[in-house]
Amino acid sequence: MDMTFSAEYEALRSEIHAFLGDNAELVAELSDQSRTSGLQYVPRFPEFAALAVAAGYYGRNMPRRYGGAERPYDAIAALIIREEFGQAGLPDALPGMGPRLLAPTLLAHGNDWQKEVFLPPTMAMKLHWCQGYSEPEAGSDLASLCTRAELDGDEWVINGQKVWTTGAQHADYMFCLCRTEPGALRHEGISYIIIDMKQPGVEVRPLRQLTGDSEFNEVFLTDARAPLAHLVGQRGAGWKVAMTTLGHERASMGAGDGTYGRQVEALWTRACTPDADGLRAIDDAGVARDLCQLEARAAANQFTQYRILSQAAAGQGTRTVSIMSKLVGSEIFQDIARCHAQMAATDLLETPAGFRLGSVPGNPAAWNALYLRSLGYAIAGGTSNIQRRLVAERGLGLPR
Amino acid sequence: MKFDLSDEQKQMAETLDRYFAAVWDSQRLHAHLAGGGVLDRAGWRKMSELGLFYMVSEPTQPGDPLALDAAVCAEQVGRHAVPGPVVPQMLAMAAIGRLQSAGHRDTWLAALGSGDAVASFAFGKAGAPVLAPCARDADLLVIVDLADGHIWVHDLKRDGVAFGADRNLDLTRRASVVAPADPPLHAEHVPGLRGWLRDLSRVLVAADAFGGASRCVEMATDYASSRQQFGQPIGRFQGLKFQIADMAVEVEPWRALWWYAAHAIDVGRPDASRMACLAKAVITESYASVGRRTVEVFGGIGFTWDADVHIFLKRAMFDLVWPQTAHALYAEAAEERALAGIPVAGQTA
Repeated sequence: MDMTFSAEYEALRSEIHAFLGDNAELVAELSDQSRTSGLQYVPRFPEFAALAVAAGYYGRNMPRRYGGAERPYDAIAALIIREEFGQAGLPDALPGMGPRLLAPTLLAHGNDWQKEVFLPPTMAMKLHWCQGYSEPEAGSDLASLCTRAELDGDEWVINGQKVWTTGAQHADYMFCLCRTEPGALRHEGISYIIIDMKQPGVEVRPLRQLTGDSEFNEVFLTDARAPLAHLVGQRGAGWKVAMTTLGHERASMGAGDGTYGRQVEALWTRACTPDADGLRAIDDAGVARDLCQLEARAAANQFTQYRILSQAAAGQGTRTVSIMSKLVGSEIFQDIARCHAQMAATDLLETPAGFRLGSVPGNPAAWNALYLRSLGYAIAGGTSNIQRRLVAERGLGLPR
Repeated sequence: MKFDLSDEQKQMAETLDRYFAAVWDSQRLHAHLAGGGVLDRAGWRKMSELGLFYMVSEPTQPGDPLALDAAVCAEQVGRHAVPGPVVPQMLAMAAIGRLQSAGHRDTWLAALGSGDAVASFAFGKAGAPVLAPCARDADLLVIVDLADGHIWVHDLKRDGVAFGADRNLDLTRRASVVAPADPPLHAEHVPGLRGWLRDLSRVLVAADAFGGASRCVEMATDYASSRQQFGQPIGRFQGLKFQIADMAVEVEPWRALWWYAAHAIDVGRPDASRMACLAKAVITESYASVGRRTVEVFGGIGFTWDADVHIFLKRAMFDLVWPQTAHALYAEAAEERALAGIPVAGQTA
């Protein structure tokens, strides 16, 4: 056990400090704007992204010729970047469906032409992406999806409906799962196809969430077209390609950048602050117990990330623990929200606003947004019950 | 940065796991219960050959992984529900090994280290009775006063020792309320030791509880995988499957917490005491909760004396209250935070 960092890594930490300091004004603007908008849509974000890629902090796994920083795999460096960027209110990697989900998938399964055309503008934050997986009749049971793609000469013709499509209203392209092999077994008839969103056959209708925001959409595909060359991987191999993306999505959701610890610290502060009648929530033994447990869970989650990372750096797997990450994280998140609501007074009735994932709410409206937003976290990227099944079957080995 | 056990620690855990699995199988554990929980002295001596009791007895260099080594052992003790005051004896030796006046120190260490003698351990006040694990089996009782740092070593085999109420729920570590007879064999004030012993005791019990809790998850998983009803293993039903997944998800993250707390004690990190306090509270609570849920997974057989589950559940109940209750630890941690007050705006974000 060694929690110190060698001189090389301490140097990296100072270097990141200096980098963030040199760009302090831009960092502050982005951190502030990201409270109300997805960072990838903030106008000055590409400017910062380019600087962070050039400095070797963002796009580390992506080859230079595709717009990445091309750094050797280094779990410790990734941890330091995550902690330092997290402290500054910034994500530890380029945000959005493109860099997070499409880029690693394309790197693993795309052909040279696809990588050259799509990766550089994606990494430069010039292309926005959305994920076309879920359908009205294919939620947790994703493999029952029925959007069809049929070949017409050298073009796919796509018909069907997608739903819960985050960012579809801003997206240039969708990476979409379509059924291309009628009669094949359910997992074997699916293909992964890139569809241009700016065409007549694509209609996007925003859905209003219970938070009041509209992040996700319904997408109607009516004779939408995509070139044959937009097929990623083999025909009928789309399920395997998609699982790469899903793995990346869940791993990115369980990550520990210290956010929960900072949120719990804010809860302690609230609990220690006397209300109008001079009463403090911390003097309630039930609240004190909940806060202690949350502090322990946030700490355990953070140390578990260190454990996963250390074992990964040593080339060892931590399968069961990694599978648990998303479920553990979403439960802590929900309980932080519940704990705050338990302490709140009529400020609980303020219109939710101004919270983004990874931040510490600074006012009642933002805490209310967290209270509601944490519900979505337990659903997106595979519901908590789906996660329980994965933990039980793939982690513990219980019978299917 | 390497947040993982060393190869030596992993090897030590494996050795103990194999040894305890062979010695303390289900049959032997039930024989121990049938015998009323009386310590098997020959087995105690045999166990000492693993070097277990010496784990924290020798003062070493700052930064040596003393607490983590001992906690890795305590995990295996908990995992196999090993009867006897293993953790109390480690703590007693930790205190005795740091007495400044030589006196009988080395004699006691040799007798305890070789398993010829048995020690109990308690936090308490001069003259006041204490709840001491395995007191009726023990030769020595070490009492540490957390308020002023006094350490007393008492002879439990002499005349005049008053054994009060027995607390025999956990027959692997039956405890008694003991009023030791004065004068003590030894009394000394060792500066700077009480905080370390308090934190160490918490981490060791937390590790014991983690070992037991993760064993419960394994037992539940194995049973649900083999027990057939409605023509299939009951673990195929989601109702049960999700219960077991939730048990695993509650327990597994705690491993990193007690690893951290033990390491933090060893290297003197500023949050060592707080993390040891929280780890003891939350992990023992989880153990008790998971122990109860394991009974439910097993159904009727889980409710019988002949099943192993109740042995673990009762150890969980012991761990929950010894040496302090989770309730007291939460109050302590909350008070510490309340005294720290409200940070200046902006410092927490």
